[in-house]
Amino acid sequence: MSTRRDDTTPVLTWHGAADEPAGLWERVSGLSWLAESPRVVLQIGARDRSPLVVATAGSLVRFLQERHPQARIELLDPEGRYADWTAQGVLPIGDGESIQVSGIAAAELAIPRLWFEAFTLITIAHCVPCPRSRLAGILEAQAEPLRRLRNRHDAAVLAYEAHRLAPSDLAVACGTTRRSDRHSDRWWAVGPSDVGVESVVAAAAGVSPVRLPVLRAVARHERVAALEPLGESLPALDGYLAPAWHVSANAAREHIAGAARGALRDAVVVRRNLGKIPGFVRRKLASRARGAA
Amino acid sequence: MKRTRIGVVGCGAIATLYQLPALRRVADVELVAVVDTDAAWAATVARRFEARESFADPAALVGRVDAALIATPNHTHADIACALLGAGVHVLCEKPLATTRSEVERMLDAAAHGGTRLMAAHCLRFSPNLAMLEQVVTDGWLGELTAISGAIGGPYDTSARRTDFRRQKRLAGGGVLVDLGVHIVDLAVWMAGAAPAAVTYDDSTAPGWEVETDVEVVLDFPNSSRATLNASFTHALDASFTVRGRDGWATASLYRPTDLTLFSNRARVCRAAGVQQIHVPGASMYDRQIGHFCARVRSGEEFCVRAGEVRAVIDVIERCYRQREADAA
Repeated sequence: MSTRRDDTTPVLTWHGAADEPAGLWERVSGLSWLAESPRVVLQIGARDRSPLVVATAGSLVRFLQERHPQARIELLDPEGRYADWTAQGVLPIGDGESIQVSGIAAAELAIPRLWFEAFTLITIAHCVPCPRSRLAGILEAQAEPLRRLRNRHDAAVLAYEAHRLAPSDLAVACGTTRRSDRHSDRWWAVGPSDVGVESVVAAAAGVSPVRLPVLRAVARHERVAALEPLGESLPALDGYLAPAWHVSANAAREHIAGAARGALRDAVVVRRNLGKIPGFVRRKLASRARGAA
Repeated sequence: MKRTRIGVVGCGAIATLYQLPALRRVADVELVAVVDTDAAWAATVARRFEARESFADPAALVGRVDAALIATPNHTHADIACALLGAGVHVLCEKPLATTRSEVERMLDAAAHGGTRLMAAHCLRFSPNLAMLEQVVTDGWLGELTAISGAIGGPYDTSARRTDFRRQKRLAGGGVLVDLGVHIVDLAVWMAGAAPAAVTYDDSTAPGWEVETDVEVVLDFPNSSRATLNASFTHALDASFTVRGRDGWATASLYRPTDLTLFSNRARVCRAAGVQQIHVPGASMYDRQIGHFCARVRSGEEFCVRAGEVRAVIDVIERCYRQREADAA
C-alpha cells in the first residue's frame, strides 16, 4: 500500500498510559499491515531515542516473534546499544557499505547497500521539534541512513529521497501528549504510509502538513493522497513544533551560506578561465605569424 | 613490501596510452625496462615513462624483472610468453592470450613448468562498473540468468594504433572477434560462470581487410541462458553489456566505467523507485588490473581471470572460426 497509488492514506492512531501500546499490534495486524515476511528490518529513529520508542519497538518485536516465528528480525538503531536487542533475538545491522545512485531531488547520493536487498521495513520514531523542518518524525528517521553516509544535502531533500527510495512498509510515530512531560499520555500514529503518519502528527501538533518543509518537498514531486483516519483522532500535541521564525532564520542562513559557497566556486572557475586567456592569445598570434610567413 | 619489477614487451598504442601510464600510478610496482622490435622507439618510450632500460629482445628481461606485461601483436604472444615463463618471469599477457587453444595450453604448461604465473589481461573485468555487475550477478540480485547481450566496437580508422597488424590475418590471428569480441566473450563466460555448450557465429568482412570486421556470436550456456554478442570494426555499436535474469537486469557501459543501470525485483529500492542509475567509484581498469596481477603474484592467490575461463574463451573463438571455414567451404 502506498500514497502514490491509493486514493486515501489510512493512519491508525492510538493512546495509552503505558509505554507499551497494548492491543495496537493486533489491530495493525488485523488491518493486514504486518504481512508475514522472511526478513524484517526495524529502523529506530536516532533523534530523541526515548524509553517509549524502545518499549514500542520491543513490544513489536515480541509480537512479530510470536506471530511469525520464522521471520528474521534485524535492527537499525544507530543511537542504541545493540546488546540491548541481541538478548531478544534481534540481529543488529551496522552502517555497512554504500552505493552511489542518481537522485531526483539530489543529483547524486550515497545510499546503503542494504536498500538493494529484500526485506520489510518498519520505522519507529519519536517525534521532536526540529529547527530545520519544524517537526522531525518518520521522514527524518527514514533519512537517517543517508545522513550517516555523509550526504550533504538539505534535510528536506534527504527526507524526500529516503521516502522515494526506501519508504517504510509500516511507519510508527510516537510520543507523549505534552512533549516536556514524559508522564503525560502516550500516543502512537501508525500506517503503511510515511507521509500519512507524518501528516497526522503535524496536524495534531498544530501545523498544516503542507506547511512542513519535508512534506512540501514530497508534494513537489508526487501527489499526496488524502488522509483516512482510523481509530480515535490524536489529542492536541503540545511542544512538538519548533517556532516558525527559527525555521525561517535557519533556512535564510543556509541559503546565504549556499550562495556564498556558490559564489566562491564561481570565482575560482572565473579566475582559472581568465588565466587561460594570455596563453590563448599568444598561441593565436603565433599561429597567425606562422600563417603570414 | 618488495616492489614488483616489471618489464613491458611491445610499445604500441595499448602500452603507451594505457598500460605504461597505469604502471606509473600503481603502488609497489617498478617499471624497469621496455622492449620493442623498434629499438629506437623502445628507447623513446623508456625515456618518456622513466624506465631504466630498453631492449629490442624480450629475452633481455630475464634476470632483470619479476614480471612482464606482453602487449605485442597477437600471433607473437605465445612464443614470447613461453620463453619468459620458462625463465622464471611471471606474465600478464594482453588479450587474446593466444590465437589458438594449443598455444594457450603451451603457455599454461610453460607457467606450470617454470613455477611462474600467467594471467590474460581481460581489462574490462577490472572496470569498476563491470566488476560490480559481476558482484550483482554473483549475489543473486538478478535471479537465475536468462540472457546476456553485449556490443563493442566502432570504425577502426578512427581508433588509436601504432601498427596496422589488425587488418592482417597472419599477425592478428583473426579479426574483430579476437581483437574486440574477445572482451565481451570473456565477460559473458565470466558472468555465466560456465563455458558455453553451443556457439553460433556469423560475420562479414569489409573491403581492404583480410579478416572479419563485423561479427555476431550467440552462446548457449548449460544453465539455459543465452548470450548475443556483437563486435564491429566498421560501425559504432553502443558499447554496453547487459545481463538479464528472472528477477531483473543490469546494463554496464563498456567505455564509461562508472555507469551501471540496474533493476532488480529483489531490491527494495527498485521496487519502490524503479530502475537505479548507479555511479561506481573506482580507479582506472588498467591500474586495477596491474594492481591485481602484482598482488596475486605476491600472495600466490588465484587470479580473477581463471585458466578455465581463458580456455572457454579461446574455445569459443576457435569454434567460431571453424564454423566460418565450414560455411566458406
